[in-house]
Amino acid sequence: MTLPFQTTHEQIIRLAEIVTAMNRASLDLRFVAACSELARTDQGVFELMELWHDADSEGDRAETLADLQDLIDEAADLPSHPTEKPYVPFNGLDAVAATVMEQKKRLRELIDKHGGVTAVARKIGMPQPSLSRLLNSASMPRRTTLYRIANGLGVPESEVVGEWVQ
Amino acid sequence: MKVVITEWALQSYLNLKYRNVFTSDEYWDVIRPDVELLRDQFPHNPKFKNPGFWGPATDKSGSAITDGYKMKWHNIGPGRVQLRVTVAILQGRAFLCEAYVKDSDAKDKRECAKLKHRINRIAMGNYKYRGTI
Repeated sequence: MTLPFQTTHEQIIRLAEIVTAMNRASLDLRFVAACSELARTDQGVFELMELWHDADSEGDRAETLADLQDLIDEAADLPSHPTEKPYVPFNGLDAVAATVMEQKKRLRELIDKHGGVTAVARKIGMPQPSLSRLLNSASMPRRTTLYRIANGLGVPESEVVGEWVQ
Repeated sequence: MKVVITEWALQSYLNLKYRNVFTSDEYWDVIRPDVELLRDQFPHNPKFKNPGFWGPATDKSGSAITDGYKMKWHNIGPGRVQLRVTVAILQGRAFLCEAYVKDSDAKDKRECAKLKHRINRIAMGNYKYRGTI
């Protein structure tokens, strides 16, 4: 089956221009390469890259980078078939969010010990806005992202992976 | 029609609830009943004809995204924000994809680009979900 939103030939040509611009903007090569690979087939990812390229403000550009990184991390952990995870009732959201934020507080302390968000983001090849979003959002972190942080900082998995992960 | 709570939707609800974007009362009195209309009354309920509540998601060039929709609420929560949920309707089911605050056109365009990506994932079966409504 083909993807409903497959990148067109014209978009693939345009992609080369955007990848060059990302490279000129000194984004991490691993990140740019991963974006490019996804965008070659997925029109949604291509459009995000185009939105980054055409953004009017640094804030919009930063948010777009964080979105792209999120899709890259998701791609590393894609199920091959629809996978049901445990239901979380609405009344349970506050408790889950509180636990997630406590877990992220410890993660931030660890990151600060290793030079702070900017330094750690550079070390693990992730855009800084993406790591900031991870720390500030109450969404559960992705296991693949946490592994990347653990590997980058040379710490055991148990120091970064908490109770709630995607 | 079955309404699928995707992992993306759960994660977005988690963050919005934590940020007090909407209250529990608004969830139970407004948001949840509207979402249940997808299950029980889509597309016959007149609300689905109201562009202020429901409409096609459009991409950055303004073209409608096939199978992609947005459910909309206005002046929600203490911040009186514009709340949106992207919805994919395919395979005879409605997939709740992501709830977000529309605070700029740029944000809306990013979410619609992500919706295209998610429709791809759903079509290929590469997704996680957290139950159904």
